[in-house]
Amino acid sequence: MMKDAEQLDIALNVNGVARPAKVEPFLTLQACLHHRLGFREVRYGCGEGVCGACMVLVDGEPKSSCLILAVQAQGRNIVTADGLDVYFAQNKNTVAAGLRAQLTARQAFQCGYCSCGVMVSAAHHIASEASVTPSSLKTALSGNMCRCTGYQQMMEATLATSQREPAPQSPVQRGDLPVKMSGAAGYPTDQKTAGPLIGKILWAQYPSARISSIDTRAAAAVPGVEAVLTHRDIPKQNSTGATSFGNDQPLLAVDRVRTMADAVALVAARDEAAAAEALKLIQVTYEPLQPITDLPGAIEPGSAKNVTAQFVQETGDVDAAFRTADLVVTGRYSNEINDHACMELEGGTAWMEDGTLMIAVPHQTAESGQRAVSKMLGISQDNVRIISQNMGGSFGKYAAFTIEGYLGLLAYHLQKPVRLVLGRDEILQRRSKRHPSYGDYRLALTRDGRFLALDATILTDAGPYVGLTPAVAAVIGAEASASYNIPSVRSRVRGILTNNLPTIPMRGYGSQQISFGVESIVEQAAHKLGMDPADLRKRNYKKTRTDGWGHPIPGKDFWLTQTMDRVRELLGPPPLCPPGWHYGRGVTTIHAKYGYPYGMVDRFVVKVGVNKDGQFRVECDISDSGTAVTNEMARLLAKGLGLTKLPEYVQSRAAIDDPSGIAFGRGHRPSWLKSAAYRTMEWVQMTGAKSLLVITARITNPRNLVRLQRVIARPANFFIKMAGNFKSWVFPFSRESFQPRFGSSRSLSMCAGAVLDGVERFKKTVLEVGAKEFSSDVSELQLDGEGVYHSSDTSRRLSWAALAQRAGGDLAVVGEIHNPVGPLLDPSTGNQTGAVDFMDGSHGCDLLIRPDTGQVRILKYVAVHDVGYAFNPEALRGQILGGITMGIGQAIFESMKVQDGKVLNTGLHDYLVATTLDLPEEVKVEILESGNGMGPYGSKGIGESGAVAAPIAIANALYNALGMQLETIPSTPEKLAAMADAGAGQRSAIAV
Amino acid sequence: MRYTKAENVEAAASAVANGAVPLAGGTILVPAIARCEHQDHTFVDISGLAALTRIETTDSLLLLGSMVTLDGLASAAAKHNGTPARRALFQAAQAVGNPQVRRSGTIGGNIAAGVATVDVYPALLALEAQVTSLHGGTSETVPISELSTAGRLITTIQVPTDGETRSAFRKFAWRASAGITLANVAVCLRIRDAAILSARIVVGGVSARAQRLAKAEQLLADKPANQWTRDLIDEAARIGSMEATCDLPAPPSPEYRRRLIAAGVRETLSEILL
Ligand SMILES: Cc1cc2nc3c(=O)[nH]c(=O)nc-3n(C[C@H](O)[C@H](O)[C@H](O)COP(=O)(O)OP(=O)(O)OC[C@H]3O[C@@H](n4cnc5c(N)ncnc54)[C@H](O)[C@@H]3O)c2cc1C
Ligand code: FES
Ligand code: FES
Repeated sequence: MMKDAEQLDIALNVNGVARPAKVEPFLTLQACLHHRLGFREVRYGCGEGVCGACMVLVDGEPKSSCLILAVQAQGRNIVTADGLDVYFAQNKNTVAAGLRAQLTARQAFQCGYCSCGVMVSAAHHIASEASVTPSSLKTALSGNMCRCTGYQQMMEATLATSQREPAPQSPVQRGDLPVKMSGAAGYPTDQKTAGPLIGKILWAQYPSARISSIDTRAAAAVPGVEAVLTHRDIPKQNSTGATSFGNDQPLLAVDRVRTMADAVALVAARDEAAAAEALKLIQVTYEPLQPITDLPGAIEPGSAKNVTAQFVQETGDVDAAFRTADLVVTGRYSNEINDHACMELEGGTAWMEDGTLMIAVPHQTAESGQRAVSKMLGISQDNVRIISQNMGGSFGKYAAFTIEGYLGLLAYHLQKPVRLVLGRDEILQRRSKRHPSYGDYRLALTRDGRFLALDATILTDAGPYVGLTPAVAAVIGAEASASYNIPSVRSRVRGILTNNLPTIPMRGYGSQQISFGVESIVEQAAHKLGMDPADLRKRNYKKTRTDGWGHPIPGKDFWLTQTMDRVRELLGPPPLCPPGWHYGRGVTTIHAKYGYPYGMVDRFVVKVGVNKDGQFRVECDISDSGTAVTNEMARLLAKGLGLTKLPEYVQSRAAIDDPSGIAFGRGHRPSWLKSAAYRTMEWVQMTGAKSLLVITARITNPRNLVRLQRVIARPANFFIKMAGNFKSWVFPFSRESFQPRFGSSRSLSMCAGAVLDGVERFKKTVLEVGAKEFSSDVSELQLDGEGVYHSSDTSRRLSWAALAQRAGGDLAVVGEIHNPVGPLLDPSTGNQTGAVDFMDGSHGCDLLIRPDTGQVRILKYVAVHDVGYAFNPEALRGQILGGITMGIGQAIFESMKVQDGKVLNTGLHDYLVATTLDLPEEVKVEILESGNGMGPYGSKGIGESGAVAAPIAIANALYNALGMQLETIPSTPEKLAAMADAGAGQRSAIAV
Repeated sequence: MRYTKAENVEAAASAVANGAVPLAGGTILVPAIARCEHQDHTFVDISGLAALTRIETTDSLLLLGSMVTLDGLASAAAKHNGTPARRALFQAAQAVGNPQVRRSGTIGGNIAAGVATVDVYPALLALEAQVTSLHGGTSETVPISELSTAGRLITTIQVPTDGETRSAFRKFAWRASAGITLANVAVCLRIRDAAILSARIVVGGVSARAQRLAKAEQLLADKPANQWTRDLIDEAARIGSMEATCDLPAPPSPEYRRRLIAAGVRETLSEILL
């Protein structure tokens, strides 16, 4: 039985100020500083001393505050990241201020979650070390994990600070970084931390079982427990997960659990201990069933049982090509599950505010989360708001759903604030993972290395629910030809239901899975032919850029050859191989699709405007997961209007409430009636589009599929024509409004397009307002960075603020971007159609492996990407560097131990996210600008491609070093050592 | 859970004798406390006891307070690195966790933790350290291999040393920082008149407790300098890796751990002998 925990009065000294606090003896210093005292810069990523997010100076030494009890810190001098400047300035040391300037100018952070811990370690290292070297710095930062950046830019910034270099003049203003590098950021787990009830989830005990009873009485009787909820307490729809393809995932289990990720009950209590106690006392009677956990074991030949997605595509005469080929190579390649391992834990707080349920959780598409929660609770979508302006990482994890359902249910039921943050163990063991896949590949070639045909049969594990599997299966299948011109291609992809963990894309919908398979079979072909792997690739590259329909776009060739040539130049001659090691070089190419390949929708809306104080804002419902998109939108608006001050980015759904922009253009908010009407129309279309997807997911013959889609799409085309060029508020939606706001690699080019459109509309609107004011014609007015003026009498001017006042206090418009919609999936060419673009790049690496232990040392890693047009080269470089570092882990040691559907990893100590000490000894990233992308100025998406290519380049280098090919990623040193033994006889010297 | 702060070593020892759990650097205990795993325990915080943080060196002894941090130990290495006798200890301390764990974690905690994957304890075992502990008011000094921590507060660790001793340590982990030890090897040789007088080879991270590799030790005993060859070292590595008990249930496999042991024995012996 619980008794109220003893409370101790302590006096802390934080950033030079006495801070008394009441704490329980078990409260950590991190929790005390962050939750009780509001030092939000003292973040949390592991609770076990591994990640460094909670780092503070204790009596001048950087320490993990999660390893210290608050009571122990009594009388100690504590300095948080926000106190570094003052602390060091006491000793006339400007290290902290200098470091901050360098880190910002070099855009050293992305999501920014790690930044405060990094600054504590880095500032201390500079201040205490006589000479900072790259190697001393790597060690000093080796306790600070960053999932986004790959560490290079933060190391460059720290080194420059230590050498007292002035911060470089960055052409790019980053409004978001100084905020993220301080407690001001406000990540979901920072919201309302003092005082809420503590929520916890009772997870399934078995991967597959029937539930015969759930008894919550004993749990509810625990003192301090305020609610124990089961499926019976869900007011309306018991569902969660990605609902684009089906509603098969319950929020809380009813009579069956199908995966360890199923939740059975929720608890809210006054403190952690009471909540934990209540979880133990919930009695669930299970009847365990034999779980299906092995992929091929889940399917029966000739049966559609357990098949949840199917994608079949064939171009050319594959069988004939294999019959006549000079050489046929075959291989089986697979990838295991991976966790996104975002540095911020998944979770947040939910509370009621004026009848609206507020939920602070990480979410890439707040809109879809709001919709899901409103359906579950049976309340209007207007009464649910998801707040996720900043997120400590995402990488696809929060693309579809997060824990908003659990939080929403608890807070709405109790009408009280509830905090629910999953532990790292729960994230690893209970949350969705990247689709594990395995495939059989056959490649037919001519003697001189021309690809004739590719045949790929791939199984991908969906977990027990459909999730986004059909989309992932489609990308895996459609990308089978990868970077290559292959006349005949057959790909068969099936998504299989198992009792493993559910799945969600991670850095690319299936791109990793298919690229590893194709690049591996190509690499094997090079070995068989005795050809240089880079030359074999170059011989077969796709050259002419095609549009989404497969039509060539003359003068816009893909720059694959250019990227590969540059990679080879940068790699230079092979290094000397020390005794006791094997050397290998590997290269690969990435040509991943991004965009909406469904041929249906691709639309973004953004609200831009100014208020009566002359403050500019950009608003849309995109969350910032670190891709610099929100900052870029602000920059583009500033540039477009000639503003000197960077506008603010605010996450809101304003642009969705009035997609026509008409109400804003007149300085009004849309009436609730109008926004409800918009929402309803959107819902009708969503439902229509969704049933289309559900139906099509079941159809395996692509010809029938296309025929059906054409029929359904016909009325939508009519609306598009109606809407035409004049923007009618009667038809604000067309079929392209289906999932219009979605973040991934392409969000930058999409958002930029919408802002640029917004700028034009804004100019038009303010000129109209000005013309009315001056009673003159629009053509007599001009704009500058300050506002509107009369061309013949420049003293007649209206500032932005005045313009906004004339328009009722807020002058805003909605900008939008539509990508062209065309015929749907084309079965004859195998091309997915619609707004599709390609991320092009090549990677290469030199590495050493010790055959006895399997230890790998990456000597040099180079990556060259064609980004189309670089809005912000340094931010792009950071994305690629981060992808490379993630890829190193995913090639070698980011391995999950899974047994009978249960993940055994428990934290970041055993899920091995790479640290500074695991980086290649030298990394070079170069950016080419072909201007060939479909975004504004020819820009392209980039985000995922670095992470997709890196494990493959490493795998190919290991193949060349060991003489044996990796069949699975990750391949741990244990596997590599065994391969080294087996491959000892076969090592062939292939020089690249 | 109850928390008390010890005023002095004696008070701490008497609390421990009465069932309180010493809280040292907290790197192992605090995360467990935060997970509500210790609700019924009383903790006595010894982290403020300056008496337990001393480092003293004499010609024959290195004396370490139990609250000396791993970082303190590693930076003492800067001063004492010239002493090949204790090299294994410094190498082990530097191999622990990451910077913040080394700044908080203590040598006493490493010995008392009883965790299979610790690094410093095997090094101390190889170096034949002696441990002084208090049971209430009674002090006792025993070889580290005979230490039982129940009800005891470790106060000091004495590492013997002389001009004849050479030592080395290797740790294997898949991640370079905060990597869990998959195997570690600590070797301590006494060399007199150009011959190995005695050898102690300790392996950790592969079984619940660190173990000595008696057969490999025997192979090396009495070997004169002219026999210190690669072949001898390879043979010691082979024998040692075969005789070790590798019975931790978690992956990687015992076979792979034996590879690591062999590599560790080979590297440490090469460092000392070649
Ligand atoms: C991220 C991370 C990585 C790590 N990596 C490694 C590693 O690579 N190698 C390694 O060896 N260890 C590692 N550790 C474990 C740990 O940090 C060290 O073993 C450290 O030395 C433990 O010391 P402590 O003072 O923090 O122990 P505490 O957590 O304070 O205590 C641990 C145990 O020892 C007992 N104890 C402590 N001091 C005394 C004493 N004087 N007398 C009697 N009993 C005592 C405590 O009661 C408790 O049972 C890691 C820990 C973390 C969090
Ligand atoms: S939260 Fe403290 S180190 Fe990760
Ligand atoms: S920027 Fe470091 S974790 Fe995201």
